[in-house]
Amino acid sequence: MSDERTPFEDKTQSVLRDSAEHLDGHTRSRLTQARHAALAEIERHRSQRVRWLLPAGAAAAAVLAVFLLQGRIAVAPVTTEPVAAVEDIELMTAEDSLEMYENLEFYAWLDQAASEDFPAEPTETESGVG
Amino acid sequence: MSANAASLDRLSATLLAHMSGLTAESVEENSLEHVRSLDQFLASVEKRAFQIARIAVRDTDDALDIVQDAMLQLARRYGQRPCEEWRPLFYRILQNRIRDCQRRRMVRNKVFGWLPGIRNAAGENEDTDPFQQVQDDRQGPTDRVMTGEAMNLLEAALRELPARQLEAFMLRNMEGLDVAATAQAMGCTEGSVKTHYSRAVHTLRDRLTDAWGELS
Repeated sequence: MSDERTPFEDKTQSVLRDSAEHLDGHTRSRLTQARHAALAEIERHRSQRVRWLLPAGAAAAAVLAVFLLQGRIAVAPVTTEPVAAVEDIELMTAEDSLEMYENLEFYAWLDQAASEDFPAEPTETESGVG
Repeated sequence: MSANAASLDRLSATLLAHMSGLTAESVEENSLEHVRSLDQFLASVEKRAFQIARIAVRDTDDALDIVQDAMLQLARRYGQRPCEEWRPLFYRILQNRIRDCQRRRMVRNKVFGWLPGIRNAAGENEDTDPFQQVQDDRQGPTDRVMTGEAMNLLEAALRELPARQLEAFMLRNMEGLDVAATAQAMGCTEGSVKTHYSRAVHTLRDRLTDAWGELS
């Protein structure tokens, strides 16, 4: 079906639109009243919405302010964490510590040899004193 | 640390001021603009909508009630929707109201049709005020007679059409909606709109070509 309009369609459109444009006064007046009633309805909805929006906006602003204030208080402990982390890194990367871990077996043998050369003093209960 | 706190204070103060301004002024401004747009839209369609309803239900008072109801429904339910959506939505509501009216009338005629004083099947008022039927004088007398006669013939032919063909023809031809918007207003597919419209045009052409030829 072609979308082109035929002269017949143009004529019917012209007749129909002419008839709509030349309505009697009473009908035009009733249509205007109907339009104003519809606009009054939307105006009423609008005023109701604004009446709700003002307290809702104030409440939202208050909640936001509370969140912002809480965020400011929470900032203080958070800032100390990087300092602690830096200290940890210094301890872990110290050269002497690493050397100690590399010679761990030597330190274990040294400890054993020392305990064999110098046995621990017997406790009072073992020596039968008391 | 103190710089951060100061900036947060400034941010919260700005947001509070902005939100207060939003609720009081910009919302008000947008709403008023929307109401003005709706007023312009309704003024632009009200006369044609009335003619569509009047031809469909064949009664001036019922047609005025239908148009008023469609306007109220559009404002109430879809007033906040974007302006470009109003036209198909308005005609969808209008067509639904027309169908409701036709159904109510059919039931009323079936139930109370045997009682005297009830409106006839065509739905015309028996007590029409003749002063309300006075036409606008902005056209010349000869033109008015020609247009009036052509309209009478067209209206008679339109009333012979099936309801869906009449809907498609009035929306496509008189209101100038495209196929997609007509389909949305009628609640059917674009293919159905094309079919209904094509059949309506063929029927009207068959009935009116000779009659209008005699007028001109």
